[in-house]
Amino acid sequence: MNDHAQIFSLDAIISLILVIFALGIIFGILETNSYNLKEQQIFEELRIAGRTAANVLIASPELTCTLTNSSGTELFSITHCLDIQKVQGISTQDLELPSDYQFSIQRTGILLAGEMIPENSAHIYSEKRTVFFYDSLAEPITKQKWMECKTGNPACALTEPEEVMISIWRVP
Amino acid sequence: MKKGFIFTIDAITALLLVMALVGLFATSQENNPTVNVPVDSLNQKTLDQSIAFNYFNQTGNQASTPTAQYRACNIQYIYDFTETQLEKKVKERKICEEI
Repeated sequence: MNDHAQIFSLDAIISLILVIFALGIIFGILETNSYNLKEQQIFEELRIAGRTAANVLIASPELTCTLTNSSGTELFSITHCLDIQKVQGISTQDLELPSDYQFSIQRTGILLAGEMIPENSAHIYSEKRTVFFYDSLAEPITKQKWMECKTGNPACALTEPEEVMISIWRVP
Repeated sequence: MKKGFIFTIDAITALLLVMALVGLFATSQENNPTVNVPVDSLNQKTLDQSIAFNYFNQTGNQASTPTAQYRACNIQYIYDFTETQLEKKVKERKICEEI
């Protein structure tokens, strides 16, 4: 009787310890996976919003250079050509971002539009895009000016292709 | 002695079984780091460059031999209005980026 009770107790205790140990590891893994999944979802949401904003920035006629003919009639907009005058005043709506998002557009580290990237934000998505700039303040870009760039003429009014960084984050 | 021996075998077997199951579960649940992001970023970069450089008639980075872990290329086929594909005068411009 005594022996049986002792054997059962040891088995039960060891088994219980093993089960608790195993459950602890499994719950730990599940918790980590749950956290990772949540982080991935947040990142994926940011990535989609950021990619959309970047695509809008480089292709939207409201933000890109407008090519005109010699008489000033607008012909079409040029993708990847950012008009400084247009870009400087853009809002989150212009970039198709939800209202609870903020953005920053930096050219060689200098803020071009939006707000400075907050230091305390945990989730920020940034993307570098290759673009070039034109300032339409003086006059719109004509086809003639445009072709000067194509042929490598020093009189080209566009900047050389450079990287612009767009960053987005959700406002708490 | 006999009971102790039986208990030891049981315990070791149970321990090994639990460790194996937990190990299998942990391995199956492990999140492998994704490589989509750097490749996607490189793809986007080469696409942007191929468009932007085309406006300026520039060639960009045309490295032919891969040297880094991640690499993406964009090949642009340029047709002149006077050319046709049959005449094989299509210009090919390849832009590659690596990290």
